[in-house]
Amino acid sequence: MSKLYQVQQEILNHLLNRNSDFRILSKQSRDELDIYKSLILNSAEKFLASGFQHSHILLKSQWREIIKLYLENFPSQSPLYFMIGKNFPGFIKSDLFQNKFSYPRFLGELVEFEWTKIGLFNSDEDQKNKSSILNPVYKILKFNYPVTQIIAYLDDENISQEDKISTEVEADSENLFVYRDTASLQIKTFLLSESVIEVIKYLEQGLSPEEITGLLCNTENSGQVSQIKQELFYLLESLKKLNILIKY
Amino acid sequence: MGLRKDLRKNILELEPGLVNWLEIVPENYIYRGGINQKNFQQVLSSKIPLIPHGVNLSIGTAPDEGHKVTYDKYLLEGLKDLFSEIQPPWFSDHISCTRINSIYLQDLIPVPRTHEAVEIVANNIKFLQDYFQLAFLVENPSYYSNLIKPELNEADFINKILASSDCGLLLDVNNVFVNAVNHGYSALDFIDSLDLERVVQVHIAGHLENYKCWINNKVLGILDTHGHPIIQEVYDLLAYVTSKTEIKAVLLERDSNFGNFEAIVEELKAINQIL
Repeated sequence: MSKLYQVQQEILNHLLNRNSDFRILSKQSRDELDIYKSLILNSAEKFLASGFQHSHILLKSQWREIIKLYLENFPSQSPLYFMIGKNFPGFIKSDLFQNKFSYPRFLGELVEFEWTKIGLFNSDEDQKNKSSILNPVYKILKFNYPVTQIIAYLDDENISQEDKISTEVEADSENLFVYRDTASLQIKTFLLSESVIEVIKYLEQGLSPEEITGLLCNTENSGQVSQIKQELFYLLESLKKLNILIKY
Repeated sequence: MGLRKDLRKNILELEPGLVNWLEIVPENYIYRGGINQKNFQQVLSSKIPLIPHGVNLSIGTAPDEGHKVTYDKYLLEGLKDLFSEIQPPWFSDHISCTRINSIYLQDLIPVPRTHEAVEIVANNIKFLQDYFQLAFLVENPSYYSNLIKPELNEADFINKILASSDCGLLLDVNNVFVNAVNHGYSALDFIDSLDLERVVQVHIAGHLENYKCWINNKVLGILDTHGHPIIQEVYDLLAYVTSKTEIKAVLLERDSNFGNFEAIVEELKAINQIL
């Protein structure tokens, strides 16, 4: 093993605050490496605070400690900088975070929603998947808490920071369709019912409106075929207007 | 100038002749979609030549036992696609380590100045030049630690890497100034000790004095920020280098504090005057 390799293992251990027997790096060198540690943390704190802006509102007072622990335990393995946030939802759901910090119960879902938006904003799926019927840059999220309402509450400038942090939120499930609009390239979100999720899954499979109608009709609603057809027609038209159904 | 998303519009509207080419951080333009892709296409259509200056090739990383070089296949494939799209005359990165055990460190960690490190860095560069079939330049980085006792002085270390890998030098004159102050040597002597015939490109930038590290409260003489105005001493170093050797390209490196774009334009004009 080269000496450089060994030095770099010690550098990594120091930067990630891992317990290690430092045989090559002196105390002085490790102190000097702290400058890099501080710079890495400064950048990550800023970047993650802007990407996870609503979680940041709730965790502001603990942010530096949270990001430090996050980077030490979930360091990025991607050369793309924005991917530094990829493991943040997993970290927030881990014992490592949950045993150390105070947080609202809905935080895990809020962070997952925020990462989904970052991921979709940067996604190159549209470049890779140009023949897709559906806009390929989307994700369906099923939450136990009303994440969109929570975000609206956190954005409300008339509510104090103290109230934002302390307000309890009751569980109330919501399904979200999050996607990147093909025209504006901005991330948009809307609420979905279970039946619309079912239709979107059929559309993903490339089924025609007739085939989807056939699948939606069962013994209980067999007398309502024309109504189902009409509702499906309106839904498909809406999906086209929203730039979700792009080649149908 | 460096193409940064906050500056893109300003740069594309600059008077002709002030900026003749743009440097890009290629890691920001691979596997791209959405607005990033749209904006990049706009820049491409402007026909301004683009030159990639990487941050994550990590030519200073030691390979695992039994391997001669180390690289990230995902990154290299992305860069290959990008380079075929923009057809750059060369590409560059720093003499530094940004990846250890597949972990990206998100900063330019220095490489100890040893004979062994020269060989490792040179092998990594030769591999990259071969993989991309493109000329490579190494940049002299700013550094805040020697890590271990150096076997070589900074200029010898760089010269040996240049000779062993047969690559070019991207000389960052601000880094020269930062290192000279932080490590107590003469910037001019350092420049004179370099193999200046290998200089292809120059970087010039601003820095911050008296950075206080919040982890241990120690104060660093100068921090290389790319976010502050260029000082006269650094302009003088650019003039000195241009008087000593012929260079192909000079870059104003600005990565933050874009607020006063007029001041940045003044810096561009000052650089052009020196050239």
